[in-house]
Amino acid sequence: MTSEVIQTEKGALSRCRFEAEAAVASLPDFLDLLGNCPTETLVLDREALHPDFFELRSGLAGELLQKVSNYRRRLVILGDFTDLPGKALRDFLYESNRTGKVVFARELGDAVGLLR
Amino acid sequence: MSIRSAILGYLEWRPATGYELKKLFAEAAPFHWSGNNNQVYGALLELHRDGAVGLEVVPQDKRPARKVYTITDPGRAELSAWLREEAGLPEIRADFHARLAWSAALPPPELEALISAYEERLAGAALILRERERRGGDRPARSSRERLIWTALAENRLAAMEHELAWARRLRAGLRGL
Repeated sequence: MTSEVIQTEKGALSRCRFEAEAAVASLPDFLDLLGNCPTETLVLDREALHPDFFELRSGLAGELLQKVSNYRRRLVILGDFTDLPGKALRDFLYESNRTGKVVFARELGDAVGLLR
Repeated sequence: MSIRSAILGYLEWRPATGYELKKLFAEAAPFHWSGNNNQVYGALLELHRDGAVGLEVVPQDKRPARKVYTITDPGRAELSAWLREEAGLPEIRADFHARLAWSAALPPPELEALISAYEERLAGAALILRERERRGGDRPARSSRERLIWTALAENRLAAMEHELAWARRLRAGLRGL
């Protein structure tokens, strides 16, 4: 896993990249990452998240988002989200982007624009 | 509960246009089910005709004028009386339950898929409700009592969603175990 700190007008971000896909498969995985993240905002690629994240009934998304909120951090997930199955998921991404603490976007620039 | 009463409650909080009321209903825990969009406008016309609300047309620059509704004294009286009426028990009108009741004969994989899809929608709805709570809603908070009540109502809705999700999971597990 490599990480790089990027300065933006919305604060400093830690961009983490993984060799393997689905590196973040559980809450403990995520807490590890969050714990070692030196900045308020963590940036991950969509592929870093286990597919369970996008199966809302697995509860993984809810768990991770709650921790982000509890620790007053922000999370950016970069990727193509146009192929998401189901309205529930799309509606959820929309609401999350509205809040601006956990944002989903294709490009980092777009994501930074959504952050609050 | 009629949409009329819910509208009076909102207008007592603050004046609003029909459009603003529609948005408030969509987001608010206790009223999310209150009728479809068009009912709001119909109810406002009725309330206006009955003298329960007043209407002020506010011109805007480069946009259509805003039709802002306000509560009147007769409206306040109607609201007050309604608050004190005996309330009914919760009516769970779950579309899914009605279909499920007659679904025993569906092929097991199909029924499993239907229940899973329902769980997914419930999980999504619960996440969205949580997000909205985090964001803080545009809702009445004229006193600490009012703030507590509206927070409790939002919690109620979230808990109901999560309870339903847990129930659906158990049902699916139960069916698989047969």
